[in-house]
Amino acid sequence: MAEHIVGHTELVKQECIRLGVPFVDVAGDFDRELAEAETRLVSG
Amino acid sequence: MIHLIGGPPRVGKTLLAERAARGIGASWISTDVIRSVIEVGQPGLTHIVWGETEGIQAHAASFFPYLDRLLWGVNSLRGPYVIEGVDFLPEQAVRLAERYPVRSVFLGHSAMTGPSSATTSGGSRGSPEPRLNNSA
Repeated sequence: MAEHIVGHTELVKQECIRLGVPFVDVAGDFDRELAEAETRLVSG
Repeated sequence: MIHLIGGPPRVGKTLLAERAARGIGASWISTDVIRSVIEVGQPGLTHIVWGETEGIQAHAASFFPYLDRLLWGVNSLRGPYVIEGVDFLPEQAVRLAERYPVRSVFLGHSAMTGPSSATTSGGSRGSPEPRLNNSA
């Protein structure tokens, strides 16, 4: 499953870049990245 | 405002939905619920081939009418709402934003490692586990 998640992530990331949609990679500091995602989701 | 959270399984979408909904006093729902409802009437219709880009894109395209209908209903509630799931891609989020007050974020995990498992599934956890929460 892990390789499919990485592949799915790349698909989503490329579409986000192409369309200007916010994308957050949680591969680093999960809590910090999730907080960043919440800010972008709620505050724009 | 309708807040969409998309991305692959197991990257934290549900956790983010719970946190965001709590923060803004909204209710939230997972598209797992919609998928499980569809499966009752039309088994196999929402089958996803996780390992193939084309399969993920095809699923997102076929799921779009149901997602659009969900947003139509949620939008009529006039309050903030959070929707999370694996069943749509940024392309669908952009299309929805043309018709509804939508704000989106997509999550991903570029370095996940772990044991391999089945390549196909009806949901993010093997069998769909509908998630519905009304925290408002």
